[in-house]
Amino acid sequence: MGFNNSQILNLIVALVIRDLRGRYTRSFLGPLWAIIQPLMLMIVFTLLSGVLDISTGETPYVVFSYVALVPWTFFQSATRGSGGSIYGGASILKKIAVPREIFPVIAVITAAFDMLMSGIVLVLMLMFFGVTFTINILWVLVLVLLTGLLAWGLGLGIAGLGTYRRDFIIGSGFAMQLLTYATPIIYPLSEVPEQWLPYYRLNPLVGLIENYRAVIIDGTPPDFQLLLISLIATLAICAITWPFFRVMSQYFADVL
Amino acid sequence: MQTETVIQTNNIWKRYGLPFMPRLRRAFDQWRQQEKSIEAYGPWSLRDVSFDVKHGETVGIIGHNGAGKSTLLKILAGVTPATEGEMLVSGRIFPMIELNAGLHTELTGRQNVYMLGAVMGLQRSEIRDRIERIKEFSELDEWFERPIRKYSSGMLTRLGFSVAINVDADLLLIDEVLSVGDITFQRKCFDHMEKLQADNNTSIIFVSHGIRQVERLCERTLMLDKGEVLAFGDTKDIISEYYSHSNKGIIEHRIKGQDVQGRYYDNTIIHVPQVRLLDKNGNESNEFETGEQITIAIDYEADELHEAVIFGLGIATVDSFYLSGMTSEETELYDLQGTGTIYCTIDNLPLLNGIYTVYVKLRKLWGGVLGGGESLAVFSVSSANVDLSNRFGVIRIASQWHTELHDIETQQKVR
Repeated sequence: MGFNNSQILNLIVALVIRDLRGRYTRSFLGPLWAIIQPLMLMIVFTLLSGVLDISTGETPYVVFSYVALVPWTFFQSATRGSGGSIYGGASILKKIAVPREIFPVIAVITAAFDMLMSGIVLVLMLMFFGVTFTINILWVLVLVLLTGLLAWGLGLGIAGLGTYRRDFIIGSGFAMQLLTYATPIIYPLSEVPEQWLPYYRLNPLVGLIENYRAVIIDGTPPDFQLLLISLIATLAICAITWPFFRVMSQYFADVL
Repeated sequence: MQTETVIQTNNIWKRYGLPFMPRLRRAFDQWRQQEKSIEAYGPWSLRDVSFDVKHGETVGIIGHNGAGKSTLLKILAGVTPATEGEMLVSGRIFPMIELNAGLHTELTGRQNVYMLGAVMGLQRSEIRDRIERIKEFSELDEWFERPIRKYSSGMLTRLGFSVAINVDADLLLIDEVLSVGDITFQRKCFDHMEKLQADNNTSIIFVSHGIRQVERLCERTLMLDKGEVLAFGDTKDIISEYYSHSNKGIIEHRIKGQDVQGRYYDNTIIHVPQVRLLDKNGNESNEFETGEQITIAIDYEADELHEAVIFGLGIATVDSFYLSGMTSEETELYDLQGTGTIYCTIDNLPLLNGIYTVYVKLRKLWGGVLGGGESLAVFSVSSANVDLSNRFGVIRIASQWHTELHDIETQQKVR
């Protein structure tokens, strides 16, 4: 009974293809929609930054915010997608005994494809503003992996609860909006008051977003202290949510 | 035939939903030393279900709506855990429970086949090898390349089933999938299942409302009612039990005015207040045996004189499959006025195990319908008196056998 590893992998691939293909078949702009979301946010925040007078040093604000908004959008849609993925996969998991974790995995992978789209825009923009890449750009892969893992871990928690009570899925959307402001996306870390910093840095996204900027714009190696905090926090979240999800997921088919 | 057991369930109980609170309640009751019976911790969808399936065997599961058939299948498929009890499964299970799992309406039939294949555990290369066979079996032709949102429900089933029959599983769970689709396709699916049965490698669990299908395909049958096992054993025995059980149900329903309702034809001139069924002693009954005498008494009320009226009788199964009809045309034309009763006697009832309904139609020799209706009487037939090997199907046909020997060789072969 059950699926072996290669069957699971095969299923994940097939479902990702289905989602990517299916999502935009009847839309006019297709995958361009993936670019539009962070781009719109960037424009809004750039306009706001003029009013609020946020200093970003030498980096133009457009670049400063967009570099953070691309991975942030990935994180957000991956988490949200993971949280709701059980509802989306209901028709399958009510009939076939597959490990339920794959549905959040698929949500994260699909979100990563969208990020790839807006990543292209980001590269063009960076070239336009004359940012030079260094070998440290390769750290982006590690950061993306970590961001995806964090989103998956959080998504497992949201799905584990939200499949029984939808409130958790709705609530997580609000929490995500608040998180936008508790993360240095539209303002630099240096703007955060000194006395809040110890708590502020516990947010695993702080280390991730700051390091995206470091390795892409500055071309420096990541801040390892921040990265370590993010890594530990991410693993801690997964260590709690995954076993929890495993217990809860046994009964998903009963309530869907 | 091997007799190795591939599925064994022992005392399975199932309650839907998260088990934590009821478990806590039970532990608390135990701690207070006030343990109640397990029934108190319900509502249970399955109660103490035990059965087994042997290698290469086909086992049917029958029961009315809400009997727990689908719940049992879900537990076997590993989609949901049993609350109590244990289950042992050896080999690869493949559930054919509604085959549209994961389909994306915007994708074409072909694209969805790859998806469905993956859901059913096939590798991409395996599907590529089989895709032409799948296409051919599905009979979708040019529809195969169109988005499935344009498909009819029958076409969707065909798509799903065509993929499913190409999965090699040791154990198939089939739930009502054959009830959709047109007759030719159903036929094909049955043929395929019978081929699997002949190969003797695949065990099949077949869930159906269609008692006739179960009768045809299954060696043993599990009969469920309200989550409990009513009977488990040889299909022929279970079928008789099923009929006597559902006969009770139907008669109960009939009293409550539900289910197999009699329906009078519209605009009738002659009223038929009731149709009674009489046994050989002239007593009213609705339980008969194969070969017994049955008399159908049709009461009528005619307000004015009607000349040259013909009585027609029809017998159908409860699912409205018309079996046979007889009329009084050849023997007599009746002139009716006032009230009276017409009797029709069948000496040697040729029907086998089942529940049947009686249609009555009154009409003029050269004219339209004067009265009558559908399912005006219901009766059950038991074939306990018929030899087991002659108990299949709906109708018993009398037959004689003889041989003629052509040469010595054949004679030896016969031996």
